[in-house]
Amino acid sequence: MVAGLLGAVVNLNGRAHYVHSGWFLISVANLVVIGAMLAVFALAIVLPFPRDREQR
Amino acid sequence: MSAPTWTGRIRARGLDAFPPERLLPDTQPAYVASWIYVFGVLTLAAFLVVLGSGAVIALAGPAWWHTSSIGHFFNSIHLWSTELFFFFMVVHLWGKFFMAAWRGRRALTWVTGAVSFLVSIATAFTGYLTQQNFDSQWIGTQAKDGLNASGAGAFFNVLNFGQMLMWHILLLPLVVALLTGGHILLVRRRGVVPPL
Repeated sequence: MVAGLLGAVVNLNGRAHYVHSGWFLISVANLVVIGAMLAVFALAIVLPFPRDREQR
Repeated sequence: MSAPTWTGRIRARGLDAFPPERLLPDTQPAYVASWIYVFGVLTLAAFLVVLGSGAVIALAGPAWWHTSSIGHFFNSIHLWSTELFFFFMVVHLWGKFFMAAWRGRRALTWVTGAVSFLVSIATAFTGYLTQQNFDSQWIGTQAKDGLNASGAGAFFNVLNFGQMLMWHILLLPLVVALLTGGHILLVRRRGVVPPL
């Protein structure tokens, strides 16, 4: 069911979409993954890590 | 005095390099309390799921996912755990790069991590070649030209399904597992790198 819902939002069965500008060419899927990695990397640095109450 | 047997000497050296409290510590330095330090173990967890799902697929063979919804399910688990494996490993790599994690006699830790990253890529590529569909045929026929141009095609034939399958499910995962094991032991030996 979850897979069906996700499939309804993002159809992965069609042709791949690309971002193309001059020499620069990348699939939207790869671009999204790279963006997500950068976002997770930034969040991992700025978000506070939960600590035990005694250690604060 | 050294032990009279080779097993005794290995045990003594092992205990000297990895006393139990260092091999399985129950505390870490305060600076480890940051989200950026969790991506190594996330990579390891994803790797275990990759190995487990791959072992299930091996029970019925690489064509299973074409004819069975259960096979398709485990194939998808194998694919998406691999995606997460690389996702977490890249964030781990970025974090360690910007920490200059090779400091403090940790050069070999950095090198084993970097090499296991490269071998993981090769493992994933041979996985593409064993999908048993038009995608794997396309990738194989494209890859052969580059590999033949380098000379590697003489002993590594991407159009040989049996050879690629054995590299994918035995040789390359074994190398990744050994490098990962060594990487983790080196982290235990030298400790987690402090921030800059």
